[in-house]
Amino acid sequence: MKHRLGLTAALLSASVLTMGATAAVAADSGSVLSDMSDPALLEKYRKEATERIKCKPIDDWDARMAAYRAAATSKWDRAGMGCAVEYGTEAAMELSVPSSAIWAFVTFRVDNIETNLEVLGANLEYFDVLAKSYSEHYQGIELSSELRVRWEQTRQRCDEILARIEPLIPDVTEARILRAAYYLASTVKETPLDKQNEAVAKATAELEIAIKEKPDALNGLGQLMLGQVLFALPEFLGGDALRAIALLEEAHKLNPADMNAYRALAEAYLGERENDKAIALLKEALATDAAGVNPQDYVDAFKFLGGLGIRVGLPELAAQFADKREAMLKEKPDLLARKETAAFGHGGEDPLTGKDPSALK
Amino acid sequence: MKLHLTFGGALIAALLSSSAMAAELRVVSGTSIQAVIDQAQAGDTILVEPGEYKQSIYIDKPGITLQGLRDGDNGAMLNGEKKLNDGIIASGHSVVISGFHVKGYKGNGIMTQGANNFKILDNFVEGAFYGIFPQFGKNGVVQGNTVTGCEDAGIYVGMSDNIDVVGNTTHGNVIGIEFENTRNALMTGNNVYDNSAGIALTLLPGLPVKDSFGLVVRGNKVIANNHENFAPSSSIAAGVPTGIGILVLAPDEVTIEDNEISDNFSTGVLVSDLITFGLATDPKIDPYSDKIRILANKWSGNGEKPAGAIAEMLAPTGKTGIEVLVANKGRDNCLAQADGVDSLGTKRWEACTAEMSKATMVTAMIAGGAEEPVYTAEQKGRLTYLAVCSGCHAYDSVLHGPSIQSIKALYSDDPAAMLAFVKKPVHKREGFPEMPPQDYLGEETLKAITNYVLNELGN
Repeated sequence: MKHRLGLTAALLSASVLTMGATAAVAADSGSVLSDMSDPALLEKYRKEATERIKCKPIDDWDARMAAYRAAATSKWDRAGMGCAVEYGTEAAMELSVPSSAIWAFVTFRVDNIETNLEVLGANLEYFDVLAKSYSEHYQGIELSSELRVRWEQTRQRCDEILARIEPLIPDVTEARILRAAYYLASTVKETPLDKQNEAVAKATAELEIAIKEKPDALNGLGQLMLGQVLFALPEFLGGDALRAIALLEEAHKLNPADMNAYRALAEAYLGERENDKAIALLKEALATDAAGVNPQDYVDAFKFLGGLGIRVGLPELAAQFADKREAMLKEKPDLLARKETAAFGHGGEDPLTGKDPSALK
Repeated sequence: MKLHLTFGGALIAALLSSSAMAAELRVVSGTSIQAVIDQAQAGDTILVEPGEYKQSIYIDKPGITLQGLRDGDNGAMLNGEKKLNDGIIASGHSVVISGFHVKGYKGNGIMTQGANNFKILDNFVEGAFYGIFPQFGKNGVVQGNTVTGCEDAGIYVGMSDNIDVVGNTTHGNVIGIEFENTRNALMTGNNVYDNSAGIALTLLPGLPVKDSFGLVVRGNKVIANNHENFAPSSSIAAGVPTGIGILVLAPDEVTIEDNEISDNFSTGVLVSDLITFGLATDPKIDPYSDKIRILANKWSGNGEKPAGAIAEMLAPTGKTGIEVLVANKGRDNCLAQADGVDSLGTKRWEACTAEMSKATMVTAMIAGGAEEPVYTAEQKGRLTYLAVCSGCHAYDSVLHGPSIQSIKALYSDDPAAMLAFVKKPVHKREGFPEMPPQDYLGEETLKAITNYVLNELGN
């Protein structure tokens, strides 16, 4: 399996939080935000969201797969990609999956396994799309309800596929890596803290096995995820920045076009105050051929990497990222520029200058 | 001689003029405070008689002193009745707000937005989302206030510079006192108890100010901050761990000295990077705290019963009783009393030295005060939108009110109709609460907001 999944792991680092999102007690002090935590109101908005996002049913298997393939990588279109992965999951569920890899070869059903893994990968990518749809600070109840419903639906689809491929995991390293990716990706949002920590522990164990089993599986995705986990964890909880960097360097070597490896490795270098290495890596990333990257990933990564350029004091480098990003946005106007607007006194442009705080120049 | 007389005349005229402007106006109980503010000139003092005022107030003139008067047990009370959003909002420089009891607002109790040289003194604020919230201010003081029952921070200094927070009491809030994306500020002599977290020094992503440094927390009582976190689950404050005395999340150059830090059940001081909180999303921000100096403080009974996130974090280590807990890859940090303070995660930390002390620091404010720029209509529109409108409206989604996108669609060709609606709203859309009238903001500001929403926001 040669990286057909196109799986990225942008959100996986975020999942290594040991604090952050948590389920708080409902407030009763009467603020606007506590009004919107009213369970009955939330239920109303979630019901409306469930109705609003329903996909048109497709009966024919080939048509479903075609609809899946047409929009499964449209990361700029939350609704369209959501339906695509739903169609893909429905189609994959109709394919029989053998109980072992050997039996798959004997019964000529290797393709069925690959299709299931590919669709699982697309669902994992969709977690990334959803995670990036949450506002930086506060979002309205309509959007948060929709995202929650989509999140739960995606989790359910992944659970169904994972239940089918479970028996294959001892034989298929790629499946093991995807299960680890699921643990991490599915708990970034909408998950209590203890479950997040549990997911990180389970994923770490799986990734250690997978990397030993087959170091080049999925072009180093295992190393990328494990590297991010080990970098994020405090030392007293098993974090190891130096090993993390070694893993991320390996991931980058195995897949030099992966923008997430650039992001994670550059951040890790900066964390270890290896600024020269980070700058060299940013310059390398700038030369990435856009043709080999999902365009939304490209513009998102260039925004982030350009921001790192500003952080290391190289505005001219940031400006080069901005130019390339703007060119891509101009070429593909459907892509999301991800401009934040304010809610609850947070976010939006600088009120004194009118400038977008994430602008690269 | 003639020249001399002319000069002297001008000087006297200026003095007379200045003196004439500094009038003292009085608000009679039960009448409109805003009406008197609207009549006031820059530099005037407005005395508000004891009584209950169910109003929102906006001050955008410079040099206004708004003072609530007392008569025995009776004071000037602003009551939002859980219907109005904001108690007092001020964007005028050199504003003084003192002596009020503010309660029942759905957003901010007292907020300054873009006001420099402000003073917020001796108020009692109960139960808003943010209690006292200076934002985008330079050179201000928050002193002698009591704040309780806030779903986020009781006293919340955001994106400001050269601020003193002195001698306040905060209790029963999610966060007692917070400096967020703030530079050069002093927090001293405050009594901070029974909040979910006592003090928070934070550098959050996605905001216009990308750094925070020069923060001194000295001589405060930070005691038993173990209140259940009652922030709404969708708020950032919901992620604040319970039982923390002082949280340091990503700012640099922080001094924590001579405080009494006791009986905070999770830990006395938590120093964390943004990665640990899942907040390392802004590439322009350095997510690590450097130059944190934890000098001599009085420690007792911290970390004995870790809760929530801290309990989860410490569980694999089997440790409790941690006074200083560090999950941060920052550099050049130090801890005094290394032998007497139980710490975890401080392997790379050094011992502090005596010359790091800030014991003699009197103020973080600028001698002579900060400049007082006159804001353009565009700046006013943005500032007031952020302070007032964004409390109920998000751009692309229903928040409390309809989305800005839908408002733009409705009024893009008719700004006058939007202006009229905002002044005196009528209940139009089913499923939405009735919008409170915003006429207190005044014609000029409302026009600036309307222009910003229809012509700039989201474009």
